[in-house]
Amino acid sequence: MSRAYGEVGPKSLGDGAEKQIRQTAAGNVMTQHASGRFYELAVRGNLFMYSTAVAGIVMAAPANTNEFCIWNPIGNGVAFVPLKVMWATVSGAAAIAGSLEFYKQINMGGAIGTGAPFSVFTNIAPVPCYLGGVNAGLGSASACRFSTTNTTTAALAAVYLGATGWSSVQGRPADAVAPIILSQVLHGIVIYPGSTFRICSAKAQAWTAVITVIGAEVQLPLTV
Amino acid sequence: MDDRTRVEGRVGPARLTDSQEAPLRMGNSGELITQELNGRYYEQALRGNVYIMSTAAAGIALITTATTGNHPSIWNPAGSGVNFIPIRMTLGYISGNNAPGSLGFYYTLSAGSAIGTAAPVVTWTNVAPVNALIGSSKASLTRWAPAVNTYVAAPTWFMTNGISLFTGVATTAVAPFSLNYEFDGTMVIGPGTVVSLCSLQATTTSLFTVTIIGVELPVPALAT
Repeated sequence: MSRAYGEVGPKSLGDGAEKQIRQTAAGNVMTQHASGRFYELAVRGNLFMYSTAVAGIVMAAPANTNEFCIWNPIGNGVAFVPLKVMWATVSGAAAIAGSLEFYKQINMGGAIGTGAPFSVFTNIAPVPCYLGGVNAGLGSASACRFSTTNTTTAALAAVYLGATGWSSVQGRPADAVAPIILSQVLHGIVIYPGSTFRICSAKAQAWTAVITVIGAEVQLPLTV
Repeated sequence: MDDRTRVEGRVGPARLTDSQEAPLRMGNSGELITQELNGRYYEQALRGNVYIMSTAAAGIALITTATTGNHPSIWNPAGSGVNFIPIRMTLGYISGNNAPGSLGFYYTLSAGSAIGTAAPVVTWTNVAPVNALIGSSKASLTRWAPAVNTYVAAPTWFMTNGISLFTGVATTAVAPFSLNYEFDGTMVIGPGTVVSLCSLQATTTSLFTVTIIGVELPVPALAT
């Protein structure tokens, strides 16, 4: 058995020096970022961007068709972990007072067709976050699927998962207000195979928006 | 013989003095308690790996994607041997009336390293990134063209950064606002890749300064 000891206080060490780990006066281990938080996932080819077309999509209320949907098909052996969500306006008339919400579905299988959970799912290939990268852990292609053109069997309609924290009132793009930025880091949502992750508006909106979700595809320790 | 080493810490705060050696602090759930030292990217900045890329202080209009370019762009040339990992983008409003729209990132893959009429990057007026270790002579291998660049093909859309512009004018009475986008390591610009900041709709009628801070690290040799 070995008890790990650090040493309290500042040091001035050269490259290659071996020394105890630095601690605070309370015994905490002092750390320092090496690069961006999700760099390791990105450079190993596990991080992907899922973006709507540049023309945006109408922010619809939850229904069974044409929602922003990331689908982790059953049997592909990865967990999908959404890490970052960005949303921006494209055009439209007055917004309806309401908010943007996360939704989920389960038991969505892995096939598309009549009688399947998805009768329509037009895939938009996710883009690896390592642009021009030469290293690809799971491969440069995403194991998950992404669509804004899709039809779900009514019995498997999306279920409310939680609030994004982004609210709208009856503003219009033409209103004289300051620019805004809607960008959020998510912590700890895991979309298991056979499930989906969706973004909808609580109420049907008249405007269109672009949405990007950045998420990790992490190999599961067990086959699912 | 069992040659495993069990590493132990000590649960709870301590009261220690400089140079004292002490067990590493743990929480009641067995977790290692850590605390960040200095600024988040101090270690990389001190090693001369962090660069600051800025437009002129007079600001620029942000243009929709086109071969005629002139978007703030980062080019990691093929063969550089480094990845460029953006950390943060900051926009400052300078003047003019906003028009409704939003901002996003676009890319050019297989961009090579040479400028020329037959190359993906036709023109490129480079403005040397500034090393964040102010006073360092270490130069970036990544290139920055804040205002003058043209391409054979218009850069390709891939994500929103969540920034929306409305119809505010310079004389509109709104509260001050900030426009910062944290990349969190979710974008890695590999060798041979250009990333550009563009308007999704028409050229912005207002002018902005743009600053992007990022880390330049050697391309890791990862197993594929």
